[in-house]
Amino acid sequence: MKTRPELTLEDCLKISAAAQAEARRNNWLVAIAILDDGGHLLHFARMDGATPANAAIAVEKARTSALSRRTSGRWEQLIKDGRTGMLNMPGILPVQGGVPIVADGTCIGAVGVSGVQSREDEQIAQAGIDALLKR
Amino acid sequence: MKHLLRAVVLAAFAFATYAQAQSYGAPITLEQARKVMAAAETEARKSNLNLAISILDTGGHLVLMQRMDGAFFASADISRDKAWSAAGYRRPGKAFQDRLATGGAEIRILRLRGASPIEGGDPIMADGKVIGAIGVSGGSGEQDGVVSRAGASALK
Repeated sequence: MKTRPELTLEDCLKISAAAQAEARRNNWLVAIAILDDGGHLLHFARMDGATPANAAIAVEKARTSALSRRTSGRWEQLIKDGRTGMLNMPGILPVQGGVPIVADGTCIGAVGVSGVQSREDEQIAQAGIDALLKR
Repeated sequence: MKHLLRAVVLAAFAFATYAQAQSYGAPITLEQARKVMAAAETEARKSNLNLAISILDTGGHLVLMQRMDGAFFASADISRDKAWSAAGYRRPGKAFQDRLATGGAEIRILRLRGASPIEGGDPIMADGKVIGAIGVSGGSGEQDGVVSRAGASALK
């Protein structure tokens, strides 16, 4: 039988805390969403000063990565490269800032961040994931 | 006379609570939301419940959310819906639930946009104003309600 790892609340708290720390270190105000591999919310936090739009965008970036198993930045790049048809993909927000969480070769969820420049959003998301997976 | 006085005081209090519930204050901060979440989570753990808990601001937008291990994934959205209803209509889901239960014309509540007529969603008050709302899902309506109210009263 196949088994796969699953994110616990404790894992999510670790990811979110590290992501928030990364944002605070740079004086960035962001929203951070953590979703499971089905694209459903596990944890969410919006720092004071991040907008309501950031809240929704963070979730959508995370959903994009959770369901497609790749960074939302990859989708952005595809479109930049001319694959404009990708703008019409269902459930895809092709903007950098969403990163899948891959453990034991399996995507177990994703982190989405919104609030600053897109590559900075991704930097924050990655910092959160690294806190969980890198020793 | 004593009874009358008590009735007047009670009525005044009831009116004050109602009147206060009529306006929004400054939206809940992340720090306030953390206090609300901690109180709700403590209450949930007391009863060994695996719940999803959402806290929204005065515009019905996410501020803080968490899903405990073992909670249904459906609860993530349901807790948010309950909180949205409590924020948007500035009243607990229980208020809609009780009205709905009287039947008759009150079943129109089922067609009220975004209204969640289920216990487990409550406005979060500070200084007599609504600053956000909490929604809880994963247990029975009654259990969700206990946890939700524990969270909402954390700032009082």
